[in-house]
Amino acid sequence: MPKPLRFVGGDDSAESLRLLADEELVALTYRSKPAAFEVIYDRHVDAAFSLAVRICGQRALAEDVVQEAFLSLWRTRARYDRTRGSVRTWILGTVRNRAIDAIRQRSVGDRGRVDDAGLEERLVAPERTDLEFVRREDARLVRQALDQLPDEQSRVIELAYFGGLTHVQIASMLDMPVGTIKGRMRLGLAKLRATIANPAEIAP
Amino acid sequence: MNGASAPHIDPDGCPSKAAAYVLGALPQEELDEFERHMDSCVVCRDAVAGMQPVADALASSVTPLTSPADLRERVMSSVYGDARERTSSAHASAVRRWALAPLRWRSAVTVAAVAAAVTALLVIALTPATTSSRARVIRVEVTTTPRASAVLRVSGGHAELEVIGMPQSAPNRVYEVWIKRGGALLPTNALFTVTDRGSATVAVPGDVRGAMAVLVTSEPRGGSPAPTRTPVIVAPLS
Repeated sequence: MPKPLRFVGGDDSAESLRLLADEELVALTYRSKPAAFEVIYDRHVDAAFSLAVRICGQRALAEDVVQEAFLSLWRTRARYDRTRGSVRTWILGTVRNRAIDAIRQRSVGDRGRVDDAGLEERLVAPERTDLEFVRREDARLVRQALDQLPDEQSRVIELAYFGGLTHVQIASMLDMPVGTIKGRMRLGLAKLRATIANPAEIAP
Repeated sequence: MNGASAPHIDPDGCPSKAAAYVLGALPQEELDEFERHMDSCVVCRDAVAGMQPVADALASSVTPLTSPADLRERVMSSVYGDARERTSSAHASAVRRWALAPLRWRSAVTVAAVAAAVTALLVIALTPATTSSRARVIRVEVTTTPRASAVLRVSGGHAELEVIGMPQSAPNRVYEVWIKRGGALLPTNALFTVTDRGSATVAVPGDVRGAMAVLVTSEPRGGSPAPTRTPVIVAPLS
């Protein structure tokens, strides 16, 4: 049974709100306090936008996705269940689902892939806080761990997570049995987990 | 390998679908089936719990980008608007509930109190939006350090500046807020320092309607009648 969230009193100044944990802010949004949601937005929007661009391949579509996702999060905030994951997981999961829906609705011919390297050079976000710095380091770690996976494993993981394809679709695309695809996903995730847990194993 | 009471749903055995599940790669029918299966299969539940953080990490592994400032304005404008509507309708339904309450319950309250409640409702409905509900939010670059950021919230003629990650003022110096009108840079009495975390929230004095920008400079303690340093924040209003 999770502990009840600490209720924060009437001090709604931006400074006070920014000191609260995500879960405490979500609890405040139950009382229709948009200022608390604003802090949540500021903390996670760059990660959400980055993920949406990665999946959609277009900034304009990604903006629509992020806008719809955050408005949906605001409307359904009472459904957040912290026993099922962090607020960040909840937000990025919603953004991913919306982005996948968006690219499924779009014709295949329109779809393009953004050149990550070029974008990084032009659009890299400033490191605003120590926490953000830690997140960026973690993100770099995961990218390096992905790079070290065997191609056949990283490919199925990327097709599934960022491409929104089911294991059946991936099996059909690669002309392989579904069982093989599931196995590669499982092995790939297990290796990623082990590598992330032991960063020293990651080659520079 | 199957959980004791779980129906066998996968020819490859448990937990072969867990990875596809956390990657969002199960077709809808299999997804529904697998979620029901997990209710009674501890093997699959544990496998999902172990893999989920890795899938979550994938979401954060993408190339970091900065979201557009106007996106923030669109989202928060809708959120504040929705919150305002909910507040109004909550008051309206409270009055409706009261009006529909049994007569013996209502009789305890005077007609004057009813009138007061209705008046309050009308005031809520007719009062212009609060500062935050119609605020235009402008994200502003700060030149002191890449880690610093600022937003300016403007509502009508009122503006409030919030900074994060700003360096501490040098000894005997403070930050001073300026308003630019036409070609003139007008001093304000808003002098501020930042917390250990580099944060501060400052109300911009006076009416900013018609102003071109709000600026911040580092000045000697007590402020200056004219800026002595290059602005560290320039927040355009027009």
